[in-house]
Amino acid sequence: MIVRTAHYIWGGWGAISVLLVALAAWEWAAGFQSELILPSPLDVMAHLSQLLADPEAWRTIGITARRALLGFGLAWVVGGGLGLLAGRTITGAVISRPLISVLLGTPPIAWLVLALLWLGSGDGSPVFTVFIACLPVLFLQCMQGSRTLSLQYHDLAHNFELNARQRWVEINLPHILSYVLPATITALGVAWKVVVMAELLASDEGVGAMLAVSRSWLDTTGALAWILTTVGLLLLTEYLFLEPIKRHIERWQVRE
Amino acid sequence: MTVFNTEPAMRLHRVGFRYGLQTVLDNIDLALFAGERLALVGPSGCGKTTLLHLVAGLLSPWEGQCEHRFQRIRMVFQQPRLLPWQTTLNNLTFGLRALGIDPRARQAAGRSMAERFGLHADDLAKYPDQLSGGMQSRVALGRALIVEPDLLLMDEPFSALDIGHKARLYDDLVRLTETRTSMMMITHDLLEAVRLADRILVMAPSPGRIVAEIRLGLAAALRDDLYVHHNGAALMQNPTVRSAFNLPSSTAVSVSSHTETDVLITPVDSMNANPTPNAGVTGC
Repeated sequence: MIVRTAHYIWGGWGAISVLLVALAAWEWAAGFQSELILPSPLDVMAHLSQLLADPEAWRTIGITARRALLGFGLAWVVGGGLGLLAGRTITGAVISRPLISVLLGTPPIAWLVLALLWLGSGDGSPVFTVFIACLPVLFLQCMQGSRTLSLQYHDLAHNFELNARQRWVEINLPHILSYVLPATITALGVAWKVVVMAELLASDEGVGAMLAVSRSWLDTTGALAWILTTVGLLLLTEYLFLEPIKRHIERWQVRE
Repeated sequence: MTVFNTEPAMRLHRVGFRYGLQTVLDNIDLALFAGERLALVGPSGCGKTTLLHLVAGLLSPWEGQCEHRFQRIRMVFQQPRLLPWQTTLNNLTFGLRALGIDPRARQAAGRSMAERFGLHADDLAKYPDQLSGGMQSRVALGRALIVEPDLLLMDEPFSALDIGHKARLYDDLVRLTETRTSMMMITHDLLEAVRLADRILVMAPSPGRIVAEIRLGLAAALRDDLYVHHNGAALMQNPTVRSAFNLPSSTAVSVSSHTETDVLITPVDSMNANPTPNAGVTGC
């Protein structure tokens, strides 16, 4: 376990190196542009550290995180649950597939307009937009996981007289998780992007709303600082929380 | 010859099975005694696997009756069907978890079974796709035997193995099932059947039916290679067996006319089947 964790952390150096190269390219490009168009990464970092020293900024981040995680959590429960049910029968899969295609093909901005009409400009609109954007991703993968359960393992479970709970723990859950975990990471990324967009257009609180303020003041440095905050939070959530869980659960698929 | 004096522990009476309009099994009568090792041989598509699945309760007969007194039936499938997300040790102890055995006891039993099948301590932490085909087969067999079944069903469990692995597993199997485990196995390999079984049933296709019964005299633990090859060759010359496998009547295989064989071959028409159901039995 310790070796695996050390290996995982050491493996992060590759990703960090790539990010540093990207920062160098940004620094190089900023040398040719005014601060209004593209401020240097150092200026943005300085602005960011100032921003994070202010408790109000953390409250703003908290509001955005709450909305993103609430919408994402609802989508996980509803989309995952319905996906598992739909995957149990061919009829369920056939009926739901076109509906999911419609949901996947509808841009989140369209849902946001409807959400504003239905729910107003509070928490409801961003949460609903995140929910509806994440739902089809999770639904589809849960349905696929449920549909692809091998009949071979059903026979095995029957022969070894597993009860319903044991069937879930021993056979169904590990198989379905191998579909659900990648979808969870994808949906979480979608949630962060969509919540910022929704707040930009439909809220006066949260990171998206702060981006709107920066835009109105032509504060590119401030806007980039907020963007870095959002991306940083997403990366932290993914690599410090979700990815280790995914690696632990899918360790049987990992070959070192 | 091993003699089973008791009532059959399992009896199939005029069992038939269809997939859609196709009749796969027709009029199957067979009895299996406690502690008996029975092999089903026959060409591909003659319904052997279907018959085994009926006995395991994975399918239900379309007609006829299938009754048994076994308390614990476990099956070794044609493919090992190990759970890819579980380690070797957890695959071995799968059946014990299903029975609710506590973790310490099942770990000990799993390690003991692994040792009996020649699996090293290092192998226990590996996942199935890190094991060779032979090791996977051993784990699958160990998984079934660890719960001490009173009927072990096996569907060509050794078909993918080389002769060295097969020989070792035959010995393991004979040793581990010597006491009270009945066995019913499918094989394409007549020599394998002669090596392991007390009785062999020969099946023919279209529709699947039993055409001959072969009884072997010597106890399985005492059979050597010479015995197996000699009696296997004798079976290969039998017209009913050749007909079941759709082989031409003339043959290049010869068994010296002065050498006695240890097999008693009975065409199925003259078998004395007793279909009377027993009291206190369970349907398959």
